[in-house]
Amino acid sequence: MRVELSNLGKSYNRGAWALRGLDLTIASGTILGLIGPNGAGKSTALRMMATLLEPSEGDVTFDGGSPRTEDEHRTVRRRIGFLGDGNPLYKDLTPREYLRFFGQCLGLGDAAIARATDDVLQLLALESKADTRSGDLSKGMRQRLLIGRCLVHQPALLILDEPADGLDPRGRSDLRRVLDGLRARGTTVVVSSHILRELDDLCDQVAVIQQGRLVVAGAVGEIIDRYEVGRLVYELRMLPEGAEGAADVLARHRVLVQATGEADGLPSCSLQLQQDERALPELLADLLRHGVKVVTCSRLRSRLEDVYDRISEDRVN
Amino acid sequence: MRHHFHRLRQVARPFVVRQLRGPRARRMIGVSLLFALVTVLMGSWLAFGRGPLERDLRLGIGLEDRNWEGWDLRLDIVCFDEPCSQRPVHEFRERLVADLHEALRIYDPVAHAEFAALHDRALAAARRVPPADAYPDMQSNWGWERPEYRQRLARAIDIDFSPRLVVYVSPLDLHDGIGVIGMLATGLLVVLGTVFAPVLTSIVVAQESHENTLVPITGTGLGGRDVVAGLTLGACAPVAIVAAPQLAIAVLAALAAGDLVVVLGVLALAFACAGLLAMVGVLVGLHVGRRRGPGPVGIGMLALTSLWLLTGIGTGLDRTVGDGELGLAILCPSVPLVLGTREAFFDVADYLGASGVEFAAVTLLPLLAAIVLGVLASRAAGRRVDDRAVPALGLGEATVGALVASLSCVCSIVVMQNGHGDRGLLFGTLAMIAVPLMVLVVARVPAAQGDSPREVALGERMREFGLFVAIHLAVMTALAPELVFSAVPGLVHGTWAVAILALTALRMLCAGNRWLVGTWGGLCLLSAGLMLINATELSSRNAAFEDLAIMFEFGPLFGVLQLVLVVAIPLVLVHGIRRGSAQGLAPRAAARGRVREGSPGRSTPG
Repeated sequence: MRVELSNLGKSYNRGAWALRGLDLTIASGTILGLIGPNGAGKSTALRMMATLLEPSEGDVTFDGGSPRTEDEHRTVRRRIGFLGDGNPLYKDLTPREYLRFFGQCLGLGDAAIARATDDVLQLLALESKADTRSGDLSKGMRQRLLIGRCLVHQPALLILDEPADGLDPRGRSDLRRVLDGLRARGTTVVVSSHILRELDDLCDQVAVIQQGRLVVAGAVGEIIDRYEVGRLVYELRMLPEGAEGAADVLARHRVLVQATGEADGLPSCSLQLQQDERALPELLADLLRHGVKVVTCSRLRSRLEDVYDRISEDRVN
Repeated sequence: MRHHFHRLRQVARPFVVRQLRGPRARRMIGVSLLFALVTVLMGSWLAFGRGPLERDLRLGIGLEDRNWEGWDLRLDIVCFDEPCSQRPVHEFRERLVADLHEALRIYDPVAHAEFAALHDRALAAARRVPPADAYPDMQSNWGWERPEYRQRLARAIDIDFSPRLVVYVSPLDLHDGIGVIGMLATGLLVVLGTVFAPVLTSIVVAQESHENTLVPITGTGLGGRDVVAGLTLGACAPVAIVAAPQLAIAVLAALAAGDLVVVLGVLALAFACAGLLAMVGVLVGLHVGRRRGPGPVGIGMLALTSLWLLTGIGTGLDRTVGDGELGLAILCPSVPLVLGTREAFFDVADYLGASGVEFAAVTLLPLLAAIVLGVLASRAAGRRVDDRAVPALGLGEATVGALVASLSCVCSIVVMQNGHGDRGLLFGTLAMIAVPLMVLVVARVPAAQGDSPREVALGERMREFGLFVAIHLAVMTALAPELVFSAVPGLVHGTWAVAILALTALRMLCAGNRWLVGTWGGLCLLSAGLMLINATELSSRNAAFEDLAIMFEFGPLFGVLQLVLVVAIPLVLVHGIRRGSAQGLAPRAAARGRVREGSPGRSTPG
């Protein structure tokens, strides 16, 4: 489903604008990451995208059409899976009953519900807990179940507001796998998250919102290129012999060692210079003088997080 | 119609399945069968029970006549609990003997000449029963002047001073017994529909509202009214299971020993009232559930519906149905429900003997009012679930609501006063209509998204309020013109008070929970209430315009103070409403160009 937001804005009770002038186009079968500090207007934007909140101005179109009547809204909503923030479960229902309830609300037939329930439980590794009261599930499992609720009807547009909340690393990895799979199936996914590393290599596009305004939007690679940050992070690969002396030299030069490890069979470390690049030749010369045999020294590409740090004023409304 | 039914079934399915999941359905079926058995046993006990409790209940409901007088005159001693003791028989015999000898002692041949025959019989009897048969200390206050005493003496002589011990049995036969069972089943259906169903609905909705689980449901494509219908039907599903056997019992009993048409009429009215009360439960659950849990909401609804039903029981079980009861029946449908439940099986109060306008008014008007108000409440609830910044009711809907409320109030008063020309009672309609009009004016204010005070477009609201008052005055004029035109001072007074009530409601609406405003609002309500009472008083004594300024009686200063307050109170309220609404807009001015986030659905613009 292709989604277009044109000049979208929302003010509550004719008061201040929570969001204004949002223009975005989300191509079908892509994943859009929505980034912004708390109170930036992300949830408002997502709710309007899910047709659950009426825009004060502007328009949302789905595959070129904009729902106007209640019936049209209902039809569109049946093609959307929306996970908002703060939507608790029915604690007395088991995951199977919970998914069946929403399947019935969506008007699916019994056979389709049974099939979808099994698929979702398997996809989110909840089969063993299918008949346990939801109130007895761990926080991560509950979050998975909430995500599963959005998948029961195989939506064309999946909107997830902070879906990784409460998920452990394994859960996050599973979520990425699920979203990758949905993208492959042609589902459009819009996801907001504070954990930018999660979005970095998952999203096709990102949009950064601050204080209710769209700051930047586009393909992840393009944005990183555009906002290439003067982040002086380099990776050194060294021969094993003499590598142990590197730490002392780096400390003397007041270099921040971000990580050490092994790259292509050789000891490596990624480091961030405190000064500008002109300090690098001197550092390398000093390393060689102290018997550290540097094989390669390569600059690391900026990440989404760096771009966000650069453009974010980190102000909360 | 078929499409709507199909849609309703589709909407109700998930909620009903959720409510009856697992073993719950089987459990409820078991409970319903148990209740059916209890109804039959209770009905049989009430119809045929021989104890004093059962008799008292039958007397209270009007199924049995008080028979003490008959027993007394026949000199029967009634025994309620077997085995019967002979001791009361002996004691009673001694009392009769004592009375006999007292009668002979005080007999005056001149004064009591007309009772000579009875005296002669008593004299003959006294030879057979000497005074020693009575307790020595037994006192008698027997007198020849009392006819019932003479009757008892004659009867005692007839039975030779041997009173009969009668074992009490219920006067009801099998036909009546079936009627009692049917009446109980119908009554239980009324209780299930008008108490249990609304309470359960309010609890379920409050739970959803409190835990913010309505948003995912509306996200599935179900509209607000669909969700309201689904939640209501889901919550009422257990009630429906319990009610099904009762319905069968009621219909079968009506076929065998009652009036099926009346039973069906009672059930139709009960169904309409259940729908209306359930929608009230939904609105209460949605509104209060956001701040309070489902427990307090359920308790509140239980208190409300119980009070409503008890009013019906208190009035509806009277053996005589007068104008007051009929008038109340129009405003409080629990009265015709209770009355109809009894009269469908036992024609005690000849309630159904009423004909023409009164019968139509007390039967059809509450039914129509419940249907119309139920539909309006469901629309308001649907819009609330949709969480859109629109008024709960459209102008057309609110106007229909005002018309129905006005018709109900005026018809009720017209039936109550029944041509007595009681203007004070007629002006009671202003007090009655004040609350519905306040609700309607508030329902016309667009909802705020979140917990913030609402913005009130005062001019628009007051124009609509004027329309509602005009409708009421038109209805009053149409149904009782002579009373309206002869009581204009009271009318002016009362209309002022009703307007103050509406302004106070709007003021509190746009002020949020500020205690000072609440206190001020309370004082305004109190003063308006007093003014209404005063209006009624002025109307009943045909007062003139000069009587409106009643405080002048205490001195010119007080009089001026009254006039100042009459003007100042509405002005202060209007100012408060405008200022309260402006505060909702203030952030826009303060933030020029700056935008703020509001958490959707729960946002509060500061």
